[in-house]
Amino acid sequence: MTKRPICRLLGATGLAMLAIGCSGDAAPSPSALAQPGEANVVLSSATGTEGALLLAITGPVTRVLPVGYETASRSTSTGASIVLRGDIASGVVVRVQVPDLRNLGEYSVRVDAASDRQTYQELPVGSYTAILVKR
Amino acid sequence: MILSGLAVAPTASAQLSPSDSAALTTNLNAISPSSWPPPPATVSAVSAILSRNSRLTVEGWTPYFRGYFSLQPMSRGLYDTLMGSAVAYPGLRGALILTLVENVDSLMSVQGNGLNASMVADPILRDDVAMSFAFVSTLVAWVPDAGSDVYVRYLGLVARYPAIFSASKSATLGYIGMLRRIVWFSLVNARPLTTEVKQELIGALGLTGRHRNTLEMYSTLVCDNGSLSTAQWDIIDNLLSETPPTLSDLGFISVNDFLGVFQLPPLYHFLGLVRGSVNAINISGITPGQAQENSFPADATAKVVDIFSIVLAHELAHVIDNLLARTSTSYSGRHQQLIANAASDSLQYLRSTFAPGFFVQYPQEFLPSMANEWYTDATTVFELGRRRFANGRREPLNQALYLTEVFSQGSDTTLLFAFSTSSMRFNKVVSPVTRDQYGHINSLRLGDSLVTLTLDADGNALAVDLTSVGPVATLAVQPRSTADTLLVGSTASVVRSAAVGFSGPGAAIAPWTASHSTRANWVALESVAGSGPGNVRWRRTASGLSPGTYVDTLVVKAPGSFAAPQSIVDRLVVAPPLSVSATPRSNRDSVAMGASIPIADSSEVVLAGYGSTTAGWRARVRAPWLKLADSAGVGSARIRWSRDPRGVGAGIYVDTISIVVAGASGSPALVVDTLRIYEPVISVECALSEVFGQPCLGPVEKKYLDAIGNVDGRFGLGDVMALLDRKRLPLPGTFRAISRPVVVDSSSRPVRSPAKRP
Repeated sequence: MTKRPICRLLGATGLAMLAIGCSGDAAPSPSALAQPGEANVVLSSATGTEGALLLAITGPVTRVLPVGYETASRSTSTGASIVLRGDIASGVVVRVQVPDLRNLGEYSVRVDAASDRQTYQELPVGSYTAILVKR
Repeated sequence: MILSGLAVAPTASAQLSPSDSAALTTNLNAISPSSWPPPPATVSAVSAILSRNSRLTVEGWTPYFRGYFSLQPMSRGLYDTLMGSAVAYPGLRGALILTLVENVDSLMSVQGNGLNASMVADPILRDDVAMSFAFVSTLVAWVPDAGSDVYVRYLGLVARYPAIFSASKSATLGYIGMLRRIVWFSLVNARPLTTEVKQELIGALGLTGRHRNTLEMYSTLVCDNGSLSTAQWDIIDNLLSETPPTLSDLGFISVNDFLGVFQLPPLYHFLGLVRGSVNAINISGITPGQAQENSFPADATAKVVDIFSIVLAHELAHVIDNLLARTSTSYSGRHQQLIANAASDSLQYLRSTFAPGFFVQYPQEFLPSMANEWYTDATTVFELGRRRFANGRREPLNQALYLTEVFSQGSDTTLLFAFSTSSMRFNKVVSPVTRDQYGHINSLRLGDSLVTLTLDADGNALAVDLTSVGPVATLAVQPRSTADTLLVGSTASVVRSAAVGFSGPGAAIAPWTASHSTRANWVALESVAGSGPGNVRWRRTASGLSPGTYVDTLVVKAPGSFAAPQSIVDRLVVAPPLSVSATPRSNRDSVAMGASIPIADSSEVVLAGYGSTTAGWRARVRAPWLKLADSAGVGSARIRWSRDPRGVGAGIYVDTISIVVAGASGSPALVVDTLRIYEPVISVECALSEVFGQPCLGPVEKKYLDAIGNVDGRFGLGDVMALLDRKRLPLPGTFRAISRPVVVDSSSRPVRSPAKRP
């Protein structure tokens, strides 16, 4: 199956997710060497009441690096699920190590769940925006 | 079993120590589900651990076995390893019953209609289900105390899985048929078959027609997948009605032919049919009239019998033999002596068609095999016995006398059977016998003939004579037993009577007299003699009698008449004033917080004393979690209730069931009921795995987490955060998701995955 550029997909569906580093429809040069590196997950639209988030990253992640929040994660060859706990605020919420930064354009980040830090109530996830930014 | 030398035993509320828990798991895991028998050293090690924890309660053991059986299957090896300890230790037994019933409940809920196919395809799943049921059911048979617990839990399964356990006819049987048979037999074994219990079973199992009648009339439950024909039912009804209930404790009949059980491996053919308070038989499904056989050897008059009918009679004779062997030492002694006397000479047996030594090798077949002849034609049995006696072989005649004794039950009459191939019925004649000074039967009536024997002190025949006595009147007295109850201190008296009747030649003028023991001074005969039909009448009074049961035997003699004398057993109960009590007076159970299935329980309301069978009672409770299934009743009865854990937080809840009987001492009788809601042990890793989409939690655990979390009716991220806060734990960082193998079906019930198998 032909991969479709993630930027075009996001634009078409209007999802509250973005991937920074899209480079059009061109595929990476097959002759280029892989560029392992780190990327930040940046959250916006936090309300200030969040006590936990469940993030889903599509794309291979080699390591999850906490940046101030308690973190639990589960990685597979195709992505990672990350739970963050703390007084969640907008900004960089977690850092991930990826095997090739050139493919960052094909990654996506999604907020699958959020809960209130006082009441534990599940919060609606439609208003969150999470993006993956090369560090 | 190895007994521990530990001086310090766990306290009643203790649980298994971490070291014993680990050692027990290691040893139980060493017992492979696919091999048998288990290693003796492992069995000893397990027994030692169980022994030194023998005082643990049900609540102490349950968390361990819940955990163990959520990960590992039950197996034949575990059955053998755990059975001895389960019989010995009540706490262990209760926990195993609870967790194994939960185990099969969970498996069945997931498998649904595919259970039989899965059991065919998967030998480990097959034994997980079959051995769980067999283990629980064997405990019912061996430990009377286990009956009530299992009865309630099995009725719960019947209600939840009617396609498997109700009387509805199923097209898919095999293993399902085997499970239905095990559960049904356990239900009749678990509690005395009182009228109330029978009615409860009739309702729960959906019994109608002949099934219902047979349970009500003969206390026998028939498991046949609704496939017995009218002709087969007629023969069963015929034989059970002609066999005195005191001669047999038959409580269950299965027809494996109709349940598909004989298509399974032999291990499962009779799995779980362990006699307890009642006995069980399996009969053939062959069509009546399809096949016949001559029950007698070549040197006797040929007498043909229907195969379906004689298989039924033969199996019933096994029950008679088993009951007598357990209750009569004289029976067992005579049984052994007769086989020793006949030894390996086939012609010394009434059933001489078997190979020499057959009955020496298989003594349990001795009576049932002879019963084939007795039920086919008892007169021919004596003909054969006398013929062999005349030819120098005395044992067949002794065996005929033995059969006469068995069917006399020590009385002055015996039961002579003859099968009619035209009516397809066993016809019974009550025939009088007489006894010598040792109590051995030394004469009996066979039609118009009288067989008279000379016996030695052991009851062995020394001589036999047959004389024709011709037709005479036959005496019949009805009823043969009477009973009444009077209040202690009452000056009232009660008059009773019995009809004295005659049939046959001279019936109108046959003389009779009645008498009774002069020691029974509470009875006064008022009508004591007559010629031809009449009544014997007597009066009883309780004046001066203390509470108790007073039994008198009235004897009606009719010189020269057949079937005389006959006796009437008259019972007078002098009852104390009405009282009420309940047993047990306290009940309890535990359940994990978040559970949604009500827990059924019950106690016996015992009314005693004068008017106890007709007095009414009413019961009430106050706690909203305690719901009465029976809020009123008449006479002694079981009062049932359930504890509803839904919406109840962790803690210990106590309420009292109050049972009121107007005018009775002891009223209100109180039953204290306790419900403990405990918080299940759930690891953060398991909860997070569930959040990450890796199934790990069961439905109860999810409900519990929601209950301590955001209470929105479903499990979610916020609930895991609440668990972390409650445990004061941080997130564990990067971790490998727990693969506690849980498969989730459409109803979200957890079952173990095949991946967990060793």
